[in-house]
Amino acid sequence: MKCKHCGSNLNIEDKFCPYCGEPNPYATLHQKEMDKYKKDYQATKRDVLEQSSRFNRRTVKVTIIAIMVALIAAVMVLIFNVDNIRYWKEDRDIKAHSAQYKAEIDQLMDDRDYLGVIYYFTEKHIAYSSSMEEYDNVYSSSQRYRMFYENLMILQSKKAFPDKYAYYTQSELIEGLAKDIVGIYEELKPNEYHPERTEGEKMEYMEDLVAHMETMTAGYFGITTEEARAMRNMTTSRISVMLEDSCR
Amino acid sequence: MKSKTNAKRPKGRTPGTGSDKLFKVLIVILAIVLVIMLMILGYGLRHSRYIYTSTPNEILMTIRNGHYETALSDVKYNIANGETISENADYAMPYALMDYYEAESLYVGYSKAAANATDETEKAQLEEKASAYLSQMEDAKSRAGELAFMTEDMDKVFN
Repeated sequence: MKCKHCGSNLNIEDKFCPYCGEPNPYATLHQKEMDKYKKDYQATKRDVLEQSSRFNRRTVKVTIIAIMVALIAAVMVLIFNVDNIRYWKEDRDIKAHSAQYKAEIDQLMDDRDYLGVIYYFTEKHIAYSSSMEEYDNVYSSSQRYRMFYENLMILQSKKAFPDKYAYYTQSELIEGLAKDIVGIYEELKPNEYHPERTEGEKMEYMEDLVAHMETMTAGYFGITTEEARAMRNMTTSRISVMLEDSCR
Repeated sequence: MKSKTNAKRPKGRTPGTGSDKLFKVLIVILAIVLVIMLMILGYGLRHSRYIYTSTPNEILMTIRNGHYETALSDVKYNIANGETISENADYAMPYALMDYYEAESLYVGYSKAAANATDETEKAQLEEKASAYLSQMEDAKSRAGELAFMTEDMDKVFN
């Protein structure tokens, strides 16, 4: 630009003309405008920083909330599957002690402690473990025997004290016995997919269990052991009728 | 350029304060929910197996009330859980009483089956087993000590 007074070249930032020394009015105006722009720039910069900071804070909070919701969902899934986790944990523990469990069950089987076998399975929670599958039939037949024995004893108690166990009828107990008897026979059928479950000492144990059950039935119902053995070929209903008749 | 900050703001209100408070409240609530659920999960995993045992007094009360099948079940569960007489001598008499009951139930079954048996060989075998159960009854009665009188009520069930 040119000096108003002497016409020489000036820069807009020059407050005074370097040649004539006169004040440059445009420099003041320019400075004012520059100050205003600077102020506006600073304010805008502050705004942008504040908003982006707010945005960052909000983003962090939303992220935290999203993560917590995801964690809550994951924990909820685990809670609904706590049984499966427990079974997996128990199965792992059982596998670690399976040799001990098998030895103790084998001892109970050798002693022909039919009730002892089933209570051992139940209390140790090993019945459904994959490492105890070879004892499936032993477990099932012993379980059926326990129910048979309990029903038989309740029936005997009812006969001695009719007011006792009034909520059970004789027919219900006999029907339960018949189902248990048939259930025990079912467990002796050879298992073509898992022959180890119905072979050797396990089969001997189950056959003795059956003979014992038939003897107890003969004794408590006043029938002969031959009649008791004939139950092997009877249906549940036929057994119920035979036992009911023997009670009359 | 006109700055946004030149615009007049409503008095007494800073933008974003309300939603910030809401976020904080929400985070606190979610944190509490998460902690509670973790506690539920921990409890569910820790208390996984219910172990069923009965004290000597509980078994004796059950016997006294005449619920022999239940008492026998209690004894069997106890033994399976390692609650043996060697672990706790107080179990000696209640266990002896239930041994008597179990042996008597088997003695009655076998002796009556022997009485009805038609085959002599089988009859002899059944009588032999009945005799073995009778010995177990006598042994159990002697172990029952001062509680042996309770076997009289058990006898009434089978006679």
